[in-house]
Amino acid sequence: MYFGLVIAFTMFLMHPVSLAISLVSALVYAVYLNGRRAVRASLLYLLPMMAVAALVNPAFNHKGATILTYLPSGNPLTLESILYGAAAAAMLAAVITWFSCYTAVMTSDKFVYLFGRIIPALSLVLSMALRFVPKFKAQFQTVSEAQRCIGRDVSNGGVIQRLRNGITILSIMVTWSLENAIETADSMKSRGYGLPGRTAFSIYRFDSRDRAALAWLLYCGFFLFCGGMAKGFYWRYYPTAKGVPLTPLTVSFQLVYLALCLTPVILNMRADWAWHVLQKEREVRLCTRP
Amino acid sequence: MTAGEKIAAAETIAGVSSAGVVNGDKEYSEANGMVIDPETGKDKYLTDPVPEGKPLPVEPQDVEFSDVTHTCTLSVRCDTILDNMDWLDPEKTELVPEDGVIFPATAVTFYEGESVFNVLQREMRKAGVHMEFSDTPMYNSAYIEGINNLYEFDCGELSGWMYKVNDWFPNYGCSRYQLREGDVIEWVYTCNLGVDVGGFYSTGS
Repeated sequence: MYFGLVIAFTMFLMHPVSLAISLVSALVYAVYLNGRRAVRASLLYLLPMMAVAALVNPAFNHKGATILTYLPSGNPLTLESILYGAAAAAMLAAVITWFSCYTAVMTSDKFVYLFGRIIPALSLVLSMALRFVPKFKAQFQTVSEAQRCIGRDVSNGGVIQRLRNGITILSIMVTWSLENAIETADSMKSRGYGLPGRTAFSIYRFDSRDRAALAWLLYCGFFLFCGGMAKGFYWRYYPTAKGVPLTPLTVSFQLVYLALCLTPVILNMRADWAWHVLQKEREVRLCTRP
Repeated sequence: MTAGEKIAAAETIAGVSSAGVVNGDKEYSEANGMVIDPETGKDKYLTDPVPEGKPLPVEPQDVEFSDVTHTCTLSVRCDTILDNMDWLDPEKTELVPEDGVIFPATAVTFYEGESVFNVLQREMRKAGVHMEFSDTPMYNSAYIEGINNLYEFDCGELSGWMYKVNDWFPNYGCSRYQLREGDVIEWVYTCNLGVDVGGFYSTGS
């Protein structure tokens, strides 16, 4: 719900302030979830990608009233096309960062918990598909090690022999993965997965905090949707870059958007802080907060 | 809309070609060096024969400019938009001048051998007016996409820039029209494939 809202708004709101809000909060959340090092690593490929996206637009798009100079092709290089390129780059980076947060938060058990009852087949297939690659890699390792023990790995023999061994391992893997998929499906079926009246085990409860969070998300979503409909996020890049004037109402839209984007970070920080306080007091207390 | 639908739409508005639009004369064109493919009835850049007495297209790659200068008159207008403001992209209203004149008729200098496109590009650049074009190898000419940020399709699907020289709308691209002393170039914006500016070519179908 949260990710759906945030990613949708990121893609539709082209107002530079909204984009900046989205990008910064996505980065903050990513730092919180994955750690500084992981985000730095992902910035290594995000930044060049942003640069390419920002440069490609003025190279092919010559709209805009402010002519800076002329390109070798003879068409003008305009300020507006550069701004638009930068905005598109920021949007791209923000959406990618949000998705990296999404993968960190949405584990497959959460996914099955959310959608297991509504669309059981699809959610099982999805969680199996998401699980497939790491599982395949692990199994590949096992098989290839086993083959190496009997001298039939890709590291043994001449080129032809290696190739044949490789094909054998691949064939083993394909057989295994097909069999494994059928086994999983059979096993889920024998447990009555997807039957009416069947519940799925999960460690999550829908309590008052969740209700409050859901209400908050719905409220923000509705407010921002109305804001978008009322042109509160209006911004155009061509022919001249301009947007809605700064009024209390438009500022409130942006503030609500900022609050929405930062909601998970604030919630987690508060939980961390509460945990910290509890530990400091060195009290043995039943903690209901995650 | 596809190109065919657009032509059909303009034909329903205008019925026939605009007054002053004359069919091409194959004998005249061939006698003056235009190579017409007998199968298509067009030259290798898909241009129909030129009417009698009108200049033939000159391929820009064959031309060498000389230092001799001449004078011609250039103007850029978009007054047809003023009659069709409700079709115009609302973001672009501020770009349309009140009298429709983007570049008033001015005597400008050009070098012998230059084309309408060369003059337009240089003068727009000099005047600081935005102009975007793209080269279309199929027609061996530049295509003017937009002037002053008023682009093709900004004022309805049949809108775009057209040019006329000495009150004749050439049936080939502006890079292939070689200028002569005293030519009067007019760039006009049309909202219906040339009907409103008198440059509509009916295909007669």
